[in-house]
Amino acid sequence: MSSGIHFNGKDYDVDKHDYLVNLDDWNDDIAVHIASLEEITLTEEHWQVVRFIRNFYLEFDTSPAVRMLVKAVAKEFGPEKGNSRYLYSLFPKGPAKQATRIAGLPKPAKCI
Amino acid sequence: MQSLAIINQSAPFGNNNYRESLDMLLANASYDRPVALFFQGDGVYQLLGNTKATLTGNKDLTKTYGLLELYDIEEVFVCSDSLQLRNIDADSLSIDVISLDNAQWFEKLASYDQSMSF
Amino acid sequence: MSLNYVLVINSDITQQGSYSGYQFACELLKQGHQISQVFFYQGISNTNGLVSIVSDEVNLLSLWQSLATEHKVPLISCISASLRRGVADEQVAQEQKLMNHNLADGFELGGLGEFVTASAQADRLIQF
Repeated sequence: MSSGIHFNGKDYDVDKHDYLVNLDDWNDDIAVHIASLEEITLTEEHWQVVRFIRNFYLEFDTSPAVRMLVKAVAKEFGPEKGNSRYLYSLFPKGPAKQATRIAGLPKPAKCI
Repeated sequence: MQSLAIINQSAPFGNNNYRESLDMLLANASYDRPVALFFQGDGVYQLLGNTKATLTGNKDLTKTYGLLELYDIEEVFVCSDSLQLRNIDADSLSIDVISLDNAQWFEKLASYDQSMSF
Repeated sequence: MSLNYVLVINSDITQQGSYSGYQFACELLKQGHQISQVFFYQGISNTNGLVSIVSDEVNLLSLWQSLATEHKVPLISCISASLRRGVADEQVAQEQKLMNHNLADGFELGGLGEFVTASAQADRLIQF
């Protein structure tokens, strides 16, 4: 069952996987809170990916699955960050899965 | 590795062919397989700039096709005869495409090992 | 000369394309060709275990299944296309918190990547 997201006295609309439903509900504070639910303390390196993935969504209207994310990060920040080893070191349970949730985006589709 | 041409020949929004065709294309490109995208017949309607896809519950096509650039897919072709038949100006299209007449079209298509159409 | 084929099924189970694909597969095997994969992409209804056919009509589902058991042809069904159309196996149904699972026996869910890997090496790709 979904346990929802409660933060600062507010209940947020989430999907059944506890991803925010409304794009506009997102801000830095809620990102820190969702990250803590994922047992991640956001460092500057995490933020770089979180902000990038959010802009990616706004530009392309799609939540990237991991292959697409690696590709896009490589294009933007170079191969030393655009590889799955680096991204998994930041988001151990799956960079696409965790970074999209922290960035307030829909869960990416399975597959690609 | 065999090269792959994907042909879009259906108008957008009546079904999700345009979307599943793109998923297929990007999946192939992400494995560094040589790919190309062809638009012909009613498929050229996918290239119109001024559509409001969200009114039909779909996603913005121009944004969606922005992904072609991310994957460095430059082999994107449109059949100029299909455009003419529908009175569409090749300069008014929403993404960069290479226009081919019928003869060039078949020659180009034949240069790929495999094809799928949507 | 024996060739290696991949078939992709984009037709619904109610459309002729699906049965043609099945017939084509049988003929390939008869002529000594290999089929490294049948990939169900838009033709997901072919993989739905809840399909029920009266006894005097062709039961394509069981024909596909016999192709898998008798000739060891892998029947791979695209996972994202399946979820979009309401077909899941037990594990995915659990992950996605769905009320039930209905992928027919003999079929396997797979990513598009599995299709890419198979078709990129195939001599022929045929779409139905």
